Amino acid sequence: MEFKELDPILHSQLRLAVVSLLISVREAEFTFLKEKTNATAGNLSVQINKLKDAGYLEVIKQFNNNYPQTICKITKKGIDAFEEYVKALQTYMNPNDQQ
Amino acid sequence: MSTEQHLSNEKSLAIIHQMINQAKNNISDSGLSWLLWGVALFLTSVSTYIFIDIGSDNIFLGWNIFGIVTILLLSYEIFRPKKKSVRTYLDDILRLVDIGFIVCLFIIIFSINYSVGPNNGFGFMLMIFAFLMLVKGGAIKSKALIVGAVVNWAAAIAVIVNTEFRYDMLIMAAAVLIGYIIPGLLLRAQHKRNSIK
Repeated sequence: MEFKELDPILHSQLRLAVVSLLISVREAEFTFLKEKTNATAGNLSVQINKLKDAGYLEVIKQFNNNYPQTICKITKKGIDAFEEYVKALQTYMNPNDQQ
Repeated sequence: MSTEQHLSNEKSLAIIHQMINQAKNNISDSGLSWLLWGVALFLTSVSTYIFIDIGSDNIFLGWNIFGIVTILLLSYEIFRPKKKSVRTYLDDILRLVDIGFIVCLFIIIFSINYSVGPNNGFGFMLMIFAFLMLVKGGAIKSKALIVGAVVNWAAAIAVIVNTEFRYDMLIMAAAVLIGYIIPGLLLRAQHKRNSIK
């Protein structure tokens, strides 16, 4: 029985929360992610950048009615990584199912 | 939410579950569009009944004004600032449903003026209203809209079967009251309650 290694990029509370939110929607503003995760703006910004650097998120910075707006979208690589993470979790939770 | 603390497998699954639910629960409707369209349609239907009853020369005056109101309401819908901070896959599908609904509505209005005639035409109009109510009601989990859809389909049949046009207008007013205005008021109240929380 082999346990899959959990992706260290996703195996963090806030990064996992951000990816889980974005997996269910097409795109979301930074403010939405901040509200739903209850994170501070600084911390959230750092974690979003880590996810972006890993290629899991696409971050679009634009202006809407003269206000800066940051929009986040999950990428194909991010979706694949999330699916792998969930599969790996399942091997830990239900080891008998994987035999 | 902290960042680098030890994350157990159970905690990971709980986060995934909680966040997916948070995103799912974000689907809502302020009820404003239902109210605006409902009041406009209700007043137009009732005014048409009154115009027929008093023997007016222009019984379709209300519908002519409604045409102008429709253009204004559609412009408002298209150009009003959208405050949503998230765009879901469902939002995109509902937008396509809206476009499809408007195209069908204009074809029905064209057919009323061209060949079908008002008696059956208004029945088809109620039929497509019901379709929109069912889809949107299902999407935002509004029982009032789903009940409205059933009532509007029943009203559509009643309008097609009934041959006296002025009663069609009363049926239409009642259907619009149940299908648009009451769900609109309920959604508006719910939206205000959620905004206060």
